[in-house]
Amino acid sequence: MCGIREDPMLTQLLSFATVGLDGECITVEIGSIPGESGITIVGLGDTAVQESKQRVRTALRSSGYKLPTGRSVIINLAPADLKKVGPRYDLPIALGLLIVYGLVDIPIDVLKDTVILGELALDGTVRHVSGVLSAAAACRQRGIGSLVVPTMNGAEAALVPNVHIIPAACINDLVEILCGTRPCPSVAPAEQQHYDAVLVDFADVRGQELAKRALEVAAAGGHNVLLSGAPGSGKTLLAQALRGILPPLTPEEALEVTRVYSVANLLPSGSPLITKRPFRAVHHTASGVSIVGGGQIPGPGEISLAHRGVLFLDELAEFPSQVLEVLRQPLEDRHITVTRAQGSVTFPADVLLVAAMNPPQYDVNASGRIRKRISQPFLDRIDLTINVLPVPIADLAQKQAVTGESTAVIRARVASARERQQRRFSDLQISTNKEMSIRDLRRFCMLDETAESILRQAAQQMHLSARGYHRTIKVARTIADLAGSEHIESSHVAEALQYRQNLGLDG
Amino acid sequence: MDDMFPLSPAHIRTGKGGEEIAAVFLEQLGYRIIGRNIRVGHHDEIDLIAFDQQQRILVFCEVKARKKSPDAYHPEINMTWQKRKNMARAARRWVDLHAWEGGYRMDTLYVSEKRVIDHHIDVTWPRNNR
Repeated sequence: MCGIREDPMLTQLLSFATVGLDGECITVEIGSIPGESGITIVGLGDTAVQESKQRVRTALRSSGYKLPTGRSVIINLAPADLKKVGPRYDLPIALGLLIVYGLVDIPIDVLKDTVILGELALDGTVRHVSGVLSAAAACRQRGIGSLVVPTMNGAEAALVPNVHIIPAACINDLVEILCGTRPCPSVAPAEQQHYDAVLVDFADVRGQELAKRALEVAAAGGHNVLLSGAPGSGKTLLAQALRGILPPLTPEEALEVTRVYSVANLLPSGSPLITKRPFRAVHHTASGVSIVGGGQIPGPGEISLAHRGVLFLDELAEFPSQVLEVLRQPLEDRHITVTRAQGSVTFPADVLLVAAMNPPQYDVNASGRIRKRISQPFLDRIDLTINVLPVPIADLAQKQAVTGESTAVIRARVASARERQQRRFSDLQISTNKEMSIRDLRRFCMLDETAESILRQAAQQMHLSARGYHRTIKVARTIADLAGSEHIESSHVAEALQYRQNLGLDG
Repeated sequence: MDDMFPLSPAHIRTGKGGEEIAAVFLEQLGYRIIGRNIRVGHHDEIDLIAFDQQQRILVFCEVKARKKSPDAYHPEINMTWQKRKNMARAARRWVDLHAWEGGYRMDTLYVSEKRVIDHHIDVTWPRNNR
């Protein structure tokens, strides 16, 4: 009957989905044909994606655009077999609608080289989304020039060099920037923040010299610790003091950790770069999946959130045994592969495990249960087992405490031991003693004859497994590093063996 | 206006009068009236079909008229969900019959005291019934 206005009928924009820790490129295709007015979103989106059309329409209206009627719009998120989650496609959809409706004119070569992420508020401002760091990294990998992110995520995205970050405060601003009528504000990458005050100072913990020393060794070499002791002897306090002596994250490690937190949407809004080693305390009611990660679309669990930091399991004996057993493989491999019907995803899981428990003799009724729950293979992966003895009341009552060393002193020692390790492993992929493979052990941890014989004797007496044997050597290496010694001496081996205490858990 | 259709019952007269008022209103907006009281199939009737010359799309209109509108009784409440479903069915049928390939939408107009008191543009299409 009548001619139809000649508008661009199709447009394509780029966005990223988060799969594991990586970004997967999503093409947002928008097509419009004359007909009944309405918007349909296809391409396996979840409810948040479906609801996006209501948000987008209202946001466009309140940004001052009058949407034409009598056009039926199809939005296709390709590839169509990948599940799309969350509100991050609001912004590309809104921009695509404006282009298809002929309301804005953005050069096609700009669109082809720009990835867009962002959730829309009803007033047209752009809200924070998760996984921006992964998207920025994927952008650089694919050679895509610029990335549009919500202003709030700008500093996080800018951590990845060589990608032009366009911070979007609201739709109108973004349209003007993309059309070239407004200069793009520059974004500074998030900066390293200074170390916070230490929560618990080692000087404040009375007595427990053996346990303090063990924690120092653990911090220096990244070894796993089990603190076993009477109720009220200060296990939890010691574990918290451990936070203070860990060395700061290196810039590369900070990026790794930030990426996990970005995907889990747990980044603190004020400081988008995580520079403190994470400390994750897990309650014993936690499920296995919440610890190793999972979900329909696999996400990181506590063990990945504690990557490069401390995973603290208080009341270890209260954890169901199947929860503890899921930790075995990631403790050994330092990464965890979560497999679901949707696909499998690998998350990093390089943690320093600190566990605390009451030994069986303090819980007469439950001693059998405790022995059953904490299996030998699990104990085998713990390098330092310490019996924390109750502190004599007389020690506590002293006014002028005969305090041990302060956190600052220990931290300096740990830092120099880590430096020593880094120098030693400079040509390898690893940075701490715990990561050494058997081959590295042979190369870096030659024992002299006395040390070897002590170790062999002890191994026979204590029924050490092969893994236990090798782990003891690694601990000895760390002790030698702390002492500033190039060689592992018999005293170092003896001290390492001291940390393999029998807690009466076997048999 | 009441005497335009002197032999019809009172409610029919109100309705016809309302449609007339709505048509004049749309013409003043710059729409072209294409048809009135168009029967589609056995049951369905479209009050007004107009062409929005500015947006260049077809507009199917439903007119709801009342003689008087006390504050508590707005003509809008006569626009039931069932009526909207029927209206959409009629419009879609018309589009099919005439092989219309352009855009189209549904509007509702409310007439009371001989003037258009409300004009709802682009009523949401019911999803089922398709």
